[in-house]
Amino acid sequence: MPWAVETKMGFAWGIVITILFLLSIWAMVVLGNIAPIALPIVAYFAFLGWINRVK
Amino acid sequence: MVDATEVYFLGLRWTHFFAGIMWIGLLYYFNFVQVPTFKELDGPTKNILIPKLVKRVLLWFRWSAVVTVLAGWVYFFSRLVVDSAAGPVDLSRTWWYVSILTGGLIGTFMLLNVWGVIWRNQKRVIHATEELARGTPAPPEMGKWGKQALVASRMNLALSLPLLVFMGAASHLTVALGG
Repeated sequence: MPWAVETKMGFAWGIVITILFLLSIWAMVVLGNIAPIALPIVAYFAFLGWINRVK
Repeated sequence: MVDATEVYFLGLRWTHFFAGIMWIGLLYYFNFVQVPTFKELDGPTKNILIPKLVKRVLLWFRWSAVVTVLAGWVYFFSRLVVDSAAGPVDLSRTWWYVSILTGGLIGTFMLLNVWGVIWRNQKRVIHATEELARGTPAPPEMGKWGKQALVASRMNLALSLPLLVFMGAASHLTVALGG
């Protein structure tokens, strides 16, 4: 059975945010600062803005 | 003798696990059981189940999410206070903090999805279904509400996997970050 478009969109956002978390962990360790954690946080708020436009 | 601080942390962990199992268990119920089952049901059957079954499941789902995340953050900051008393803590160079902060933020995003997207849309669907039983026609936006809730639910399903990895890895994976 093909995946519904909602499944694809939901998984896509989940995977993007997971990748950004991995990137932020790497950047945190390299920079010695927790500021890169803002990367996935910004992406999540982008999701909240986007989801209201789904029809 | 049992140390009072350890009992406090154990209590928070227990609360976090208990509520977390309920929350993620219901998330998997929605994604693996309810959504595919509802696709096979006819309209009148769904209209009976939505105000009865779905409404009840969502009550436990959204409040167990709150308890899980709240207990988790209280644990995190309590641990930070205790560890800081022994000396300065570098959050970015201590694996437990890096891993638990990552898992905690993923969990917080999932909580925001539960209340801000899933419940916000599902309560409209439930209300519309209850009104339908009283003879009010279903609003045209009902499809959109269901779609937005499903996207967020699928996203939470995807996020639950790294969430569990980072929560488990905080205490069960040894990573030397240096510094």
